[in-house]
Amino acid sequence: MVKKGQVHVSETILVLFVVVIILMMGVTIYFKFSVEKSKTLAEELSEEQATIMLAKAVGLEELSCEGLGCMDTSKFLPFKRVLGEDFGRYKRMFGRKRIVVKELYPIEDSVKEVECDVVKYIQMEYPENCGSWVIYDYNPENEPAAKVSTIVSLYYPEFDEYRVGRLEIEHYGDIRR
Amino acid sequence: MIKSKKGNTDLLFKWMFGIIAGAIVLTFFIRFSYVHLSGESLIEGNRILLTVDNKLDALGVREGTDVFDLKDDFSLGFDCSLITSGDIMGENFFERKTDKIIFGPEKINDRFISIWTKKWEAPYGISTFYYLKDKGSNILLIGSTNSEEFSDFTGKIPSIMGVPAIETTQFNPADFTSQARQSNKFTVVYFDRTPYDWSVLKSQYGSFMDLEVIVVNTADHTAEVYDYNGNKEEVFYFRDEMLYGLIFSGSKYSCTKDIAMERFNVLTRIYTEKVSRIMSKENRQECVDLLNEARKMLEAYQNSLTKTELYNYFEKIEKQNLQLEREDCPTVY
Amino acid sequence: MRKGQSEVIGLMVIVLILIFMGVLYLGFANLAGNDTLASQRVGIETENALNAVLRVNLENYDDKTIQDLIVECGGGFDCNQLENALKEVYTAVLKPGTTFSYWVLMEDEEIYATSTCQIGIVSSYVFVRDGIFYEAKLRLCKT
Repeated sequence: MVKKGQVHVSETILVLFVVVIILMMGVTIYFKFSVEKSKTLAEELSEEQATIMLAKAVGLEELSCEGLGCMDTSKFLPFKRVLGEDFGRYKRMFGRKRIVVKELYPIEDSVKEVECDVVKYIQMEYPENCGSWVIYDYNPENEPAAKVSTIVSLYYPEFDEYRVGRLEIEHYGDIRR
Repeated sequence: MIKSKKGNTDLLFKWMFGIIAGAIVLTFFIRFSYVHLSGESLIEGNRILLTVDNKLDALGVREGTDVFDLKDDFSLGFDCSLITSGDIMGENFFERKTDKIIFGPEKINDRFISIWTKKWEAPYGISTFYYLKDKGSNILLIGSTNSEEFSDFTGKIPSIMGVPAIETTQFNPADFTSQARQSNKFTVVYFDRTPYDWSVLKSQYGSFMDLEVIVVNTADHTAEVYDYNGNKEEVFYFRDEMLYGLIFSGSKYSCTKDIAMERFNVLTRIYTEKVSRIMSKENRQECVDLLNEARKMLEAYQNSLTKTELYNYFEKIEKQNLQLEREDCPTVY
Repeated sequence: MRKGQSEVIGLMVIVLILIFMGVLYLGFANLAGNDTLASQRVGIETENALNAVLRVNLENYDDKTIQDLIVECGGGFDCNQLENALKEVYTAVLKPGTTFSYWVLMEDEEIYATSTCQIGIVSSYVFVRDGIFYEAKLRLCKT
């Protein structure tokens, strides 16, 4: 037969145990919620930056046509060269992103993913021999990316010709630079 | 007392246990709240900087004006390529590097910021300039309203920026005493003539605010800037857009101007290389020759050491581009 | 039921309620989303899709642009060329699962319309050719 004192002690211990469990659960839930909220905020800010970058990249003097709302393809390779020499400036501007321009029309499917570089440029077949430019790429921690994109007008001043392309910006869910 | 009966928890023991355990739990929650609040403050401080930077980005897509409502009185600083929030000596000081070229007062403590964006073209687009002003900083432009150049220049400033133009002969510093004394920063910009120099204005307005005087020499494209201590600095400006920048930033102009000139060099390098590449694709000899001329001019342009050379090559490149267009050749810009 | 047992059951009920509330809260916190950025991007996409395509040099149509074909359509020529060119370009350019409606007005009168979707953001572009006002409108819809 259990004595009164033993029951009392058992009850007290049980109450304390349950109260502590409730407190710990409450703190854990709140802590998890705070961390999730911060992660969501970082992702939202990164997406906001990438969306703004879509409009900004098309209008960037290093890449755009003068006042015509298009991208000047003859500036892409010179820009990449300048980027190599002055990466810090553009790292501050773009942050952790991958910026790619892809030609959509008119282009053969076989060359859509072929990257345009100096070698492709000097060939007679240019611009039919390639279909994409990697303008900028900085992802030091190999993070997974989310992508935003928009249609752009591509101008080829060598041939006085307009084509249609897509500007893609992959952002890494992090607004660090 | 505690051991009065076997297994019987005494009231005193309960109280002691409750106080000790309660104190530990309370300490834990106070520390938890403090860490949480500090974290929130850190997020908010950096968030305001990111918001301002993003809003400037959105506005900079086109030329125009806007008034930012920060919803609260923040102490924002714009120093060269840095946007800061809070007092540098305080706990809640945050800074963010920006790629934007911003001309404005060093500190803005107002909820509302007037912003004007303008593209700097020399002769191709180099960058968008951001001109900032708050209610605490006031600017007067003193020049000859009969002069077409002066009227043209001042007429392009949007009214939202609140920068009045006054005829030199009618300028009386005493008329602006109360306005000056209510400002954080008061800038007087003279065009070519200086009826009242810095020391005269200082004795009129006192030390209530930071007084700056700028004397612009439009023939030379130079200016003398007198800061709030009366120290003089000689600067030059390249095109009207930079002169607007000088007006809105005053003694903080030089650093931002240097950043603008760095961008000028970068863009000129890009255009030089663009022209070289296009030349290799061009079949017509007359176009190749014109493009080659343009390329040489661009190289010389980039290496210009004096403002006279800059303005000279600016005109030459403009003419060369028109020539390329007339000949139906690919143009520089 | 003994007194101790009923107390313990009461405590268990409180714990269960707290767990349930916590799960509900986290569930709702994750649901609340912000679609503003996505809408902004659709707006930018529509405007760019309209402007970029109007300007493109069409290989299969003697390097004419969509603007040229619009002017021809308005001038009494066959509008089939315009329709075929629009289909060709937008099929290549739009993301899979996106349809479009396109219509053209000349001096405020509709001269051409193709409509495969009803709900979406509309963008328009006005240009003048030979003193005549043309307005091209595009609507993009996600299926």
